[in-house]
Amino acid sequence: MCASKMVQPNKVAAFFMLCFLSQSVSAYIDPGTGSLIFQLLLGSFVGLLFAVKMYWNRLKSFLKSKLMKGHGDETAKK
Amino acid sequence: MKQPRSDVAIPGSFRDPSGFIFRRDGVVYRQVNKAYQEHYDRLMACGLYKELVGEELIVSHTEVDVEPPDPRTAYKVIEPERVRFVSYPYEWCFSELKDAALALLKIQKKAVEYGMTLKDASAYNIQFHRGHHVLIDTLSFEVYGGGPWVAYRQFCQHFLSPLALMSFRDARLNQLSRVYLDGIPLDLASALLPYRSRLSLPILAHIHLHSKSQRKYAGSRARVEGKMSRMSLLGLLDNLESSVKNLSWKFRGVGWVGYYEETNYTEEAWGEKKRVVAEFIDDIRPSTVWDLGSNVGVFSRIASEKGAFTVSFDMDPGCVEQNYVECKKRGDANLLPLVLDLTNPSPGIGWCNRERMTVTQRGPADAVLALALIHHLAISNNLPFGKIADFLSETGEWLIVEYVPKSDSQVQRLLATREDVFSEYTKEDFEREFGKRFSIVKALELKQSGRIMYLMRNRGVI
Repeated sequence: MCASKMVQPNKVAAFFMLCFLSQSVSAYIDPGTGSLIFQLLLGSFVGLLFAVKMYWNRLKSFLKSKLMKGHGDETAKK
Repeated sequence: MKQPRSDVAIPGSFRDPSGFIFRRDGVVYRQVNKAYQEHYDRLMACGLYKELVGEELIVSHTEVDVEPPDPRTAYKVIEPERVRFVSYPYEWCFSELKDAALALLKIQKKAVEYGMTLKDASAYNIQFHRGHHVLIDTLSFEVYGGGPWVAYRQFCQHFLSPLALMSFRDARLNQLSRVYLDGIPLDLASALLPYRSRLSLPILAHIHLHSKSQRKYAGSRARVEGKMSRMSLLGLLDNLESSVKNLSWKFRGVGWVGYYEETNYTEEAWGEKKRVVAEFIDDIRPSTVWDLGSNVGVFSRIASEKGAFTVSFDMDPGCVEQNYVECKKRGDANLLPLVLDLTNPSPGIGWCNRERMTVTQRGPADAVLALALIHHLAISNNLPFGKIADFLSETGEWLIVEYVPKSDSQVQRLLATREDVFSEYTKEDFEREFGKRFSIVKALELKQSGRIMYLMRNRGVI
């Protein structure tokens, strides 16, 4: 069986749709069915990347503040 | 109830059931409908409106005690701060559209922080005001209930498609926004973009794959039901922001940038022309100026530095880009550079040709500059002096216009490759035809150039 038959985009989309099922989308402009489905799929991917980026930035600033504090304490001791 | 006779509904705002704009006795108001009450109250109470006003991202407004035009549906009437000149996306250069896109994303991110979201992402809702790009549609927000961003498709069509086309292909493709009122369709953008645009992951996703998804589900009657986590929404906005930031436009060395370096002015004549323009502006003290054929805005800047709100029009997106970048560098809040081809100026478009105004409907200006312009219109475009004077008389009360004689090397250059069929291109013809529409107040010949600068006043009431 070839790879393209194993991973069917429809089934992937349906899987994500089921995962996030809960609320209908209504708007005065037409969001577009294709756009909404695509956004739901893309959202889970970029959401993950954003979470990694956010926590990485938090970790960086935490470490930076710790280092600065340590450096500040040493300077104060001197 | 019968509407007061002086009420004029503004044609650009009828689509939104949340409210509409109307003009009464020269003042622009917005009726907020009862249907929008919950969202309006939340916007005002949650702190979002205050923060957006503080950061100059939205026009401020005051709630006024004014009889609404439609009391059956009205919740409130507000009076928004007035924008000096309403411009449209197809009149913006690359960086203006990019800044507008970034402003809209910033607003949406702040809205999500406060539990609200933008229900539309129309580029027409963003305007240049006091040196910033601001949202002018106060009724664009709604309480965020956790779903996907309903305006995602609109954002991609109104902002990302034209920006990508300008960045990867040609800045002139922004004119497609004039044809497609709801933004450039993604399938069209995808077809026009070069293959290498697929190497950019955000463009691959937000335009090419997005377009495929639209095509796949076109005509589907399925009601999409789905929840998108707040993190996913913030991720989407963050990704869109990076996509926009990463797009750039490079000047490709064609067009009118550099025109001033190629003119035949001596340094003295150039300085004198600037001095004469400044003197004429001091004489009339206009509060609004339109500079037609402004190139990179050298003369627009003379007007804006004297306090006049100046709209600087040129047909070359490269000149407008350079002008805008200079405005940003100087922090000039009084100057708005726009792309406009005077031989085919922005028409009325949309429903009944009234949703978006023609350029003259957005005037008149107190004063109009037409410097080193008339010979291009008359000779390159075969426009008789009378037709040019007719158009200019619809744009402003005062006119500062430069007449370039046929003996001038610039005119000779225009005639070099064509037959001279312009027997009526003389100073006398110019004064006679313009004299029908304007009275000549001053005429000064620029030394060493033979060019004449005129200060004229419109004979008609506009």
